[in-house]
Amino acid sequence: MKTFISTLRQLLAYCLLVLTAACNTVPSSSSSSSSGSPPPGSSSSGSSSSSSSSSSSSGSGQSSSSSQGAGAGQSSSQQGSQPGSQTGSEAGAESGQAQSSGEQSGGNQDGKSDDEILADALGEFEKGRNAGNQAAEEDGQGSGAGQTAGANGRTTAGTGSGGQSAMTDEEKARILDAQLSGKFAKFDDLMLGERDKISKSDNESGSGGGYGGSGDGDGEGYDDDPLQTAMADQQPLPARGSGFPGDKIRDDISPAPGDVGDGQDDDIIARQLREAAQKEKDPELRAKLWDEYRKYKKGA
Amino acid sequence: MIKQHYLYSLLLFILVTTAGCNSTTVRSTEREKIAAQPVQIPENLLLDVGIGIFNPGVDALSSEPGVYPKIREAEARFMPYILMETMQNSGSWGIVRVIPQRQSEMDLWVNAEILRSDGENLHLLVRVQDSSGKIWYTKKYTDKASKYSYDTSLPNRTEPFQALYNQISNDMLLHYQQLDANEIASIRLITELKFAKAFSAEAFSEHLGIDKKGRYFITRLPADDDPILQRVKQIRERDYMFVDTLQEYYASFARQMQEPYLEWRRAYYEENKALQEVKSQSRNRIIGGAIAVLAGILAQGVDSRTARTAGAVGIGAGATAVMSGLNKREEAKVHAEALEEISASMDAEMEPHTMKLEDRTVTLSGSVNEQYGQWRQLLKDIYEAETGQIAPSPQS
Repeated sequence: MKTFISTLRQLLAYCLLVLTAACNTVPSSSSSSSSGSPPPGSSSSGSSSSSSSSSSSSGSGQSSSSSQGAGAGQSSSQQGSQPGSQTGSEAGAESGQAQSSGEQSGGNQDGKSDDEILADALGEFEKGRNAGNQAAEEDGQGSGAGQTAGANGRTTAGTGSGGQSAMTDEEKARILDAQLSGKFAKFDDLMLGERDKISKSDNESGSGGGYGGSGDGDGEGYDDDPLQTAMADQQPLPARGSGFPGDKIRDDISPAPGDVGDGQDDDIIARQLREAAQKEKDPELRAKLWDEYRKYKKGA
Repeated sequence: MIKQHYLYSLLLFILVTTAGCNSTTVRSTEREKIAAQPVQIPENLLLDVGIGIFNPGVDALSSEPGVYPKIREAEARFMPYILMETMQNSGSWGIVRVIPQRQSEMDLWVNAEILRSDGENLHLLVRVQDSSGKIWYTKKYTDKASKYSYDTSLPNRTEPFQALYNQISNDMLLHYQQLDANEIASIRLITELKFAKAFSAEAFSEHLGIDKKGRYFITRLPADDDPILQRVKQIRERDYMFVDTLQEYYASFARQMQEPYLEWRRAYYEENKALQEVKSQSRNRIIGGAIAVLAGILAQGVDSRTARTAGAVGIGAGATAVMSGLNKREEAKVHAEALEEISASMDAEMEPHTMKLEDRTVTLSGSVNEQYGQWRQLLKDIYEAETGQIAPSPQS
């Protein structure tokens, strides 16, 4: 058993050396952008392991090590050429931990348990893989340096990574839609408020009466001699629906209240009021329209 | 002898006509009735009508006799409302609204200028144009009020110039009946696209073209499932709501103005008639009297005693007629001053109502236009987000 463990230890040390050699061939600048989000699916090691691995690459520049946080989406603000240069309390803690762990592990491996050695090796391996990915990104895109675009994994619209950009635009459109709906609601309130003011103003002034000279237009020629009774209140005239091509007449017509009858004897104005009330989706407006319909029928 | 006989006849004629002279006015009680479609028009063939505030036809500082600027300003807002009610009640149109300054898009636009308006006469110059920019017609309408319009003994009075408004509506209907379904549908669609373009020029800039005559024509149809189109429809519903709220303003204004305005027209009508009557009598009497005096003077030169007597009578009668005519002229002045007084008080009464209407309309329109501007920006942002394109700057 002991032989096996010692063999394993030697093997790990050998791998460690190989990886370290590989890391040394990677330019130190690549570490700045790799401090961003880890690639999807990459496992994140414990902070201590990455910290210890950072110390082992001190020869290549501590910037890479210090910026390589836990490999779990550390903010790119950790990057910096000076040891311990970080922004954010988390980064500071991580860097400090990294440094302390690095120092601890940078001496020799004596006194470390097998588990610790294994963890360190795995952390180094992770670090090496991240560095390799970053190099590939830089080679492919040529825009990696400085692209500290968010530890949360989102890319900007200019990167051309299609799937994530579309989601962002969709979300953006949804947010804007919600804003538009909010403004519609405010507008509706404004209009209702204005109409309330007008009706109150009319009630206070006691204005009323009107000409009946235009007569009743129900599709037939009619006599406009002064025999019509003047209307006491002017009724709100409904708007017709929009008529874009292929737009069907709205079929979401709500039923009429039981007290308004079937409308067979409605004249033009009553019919329009009834239709507007039935087609109205806003319950408050619909109730007001039915009230106006009842008032008009009563007056007529 | 023949000369004497001629003089007697002349004197007799002058005396009789001067004594019994009065002006007569013939009024026809037949009035233009409003016409409507014999068959109900399908909803998809109805045209919406926007009626602009009338041109008052006078300068605010005008001092022309018989013209009162403040009353004209009020009439310029009252008359469109009466026309709106007339057309709405005909049942031949979609929605009919009074819309100042063409703030919305409508299938048809009616604009008019008031050429003359007193209690007795109304002259309007009317122009009708559709949304493509084609002018249907321009026509002058005139009407004289019937005395029964101002008869307070009648139980239900109507608008004294209702016949004129009926005629405008009937003429528009005649023109409409000459259009086929495709033309009507095209007008409606142009209206929709103009509205859509006003809010989202990025999405609808290629749907309308303008020909050499400056008229709009359709170049592309919008997709039924266009998301921007759906949002524009929601905006259009709000626009209808805004226009309906404006109608409430004009309705309130018309209600407040109606009675005093009718009374002013009645008083103006009666005083004006009296003034014309008196002026006519004054003129006739003065003329007749002058002729009688002249004839009498001539008769004095005749040898016949009878003729000289008749001549003296003629001079006397002629002088009396002239004096009577002068008195009538004084009476006419009284009527004219009464007219001025009545109109001045009406002027003062109308001004605050008109100003209040203007203030409310401008304030509401300002608030709405500000919101419309925000919606346009949001639609632009949504368009960019949904299409991934940077929207071009809309051309004014």
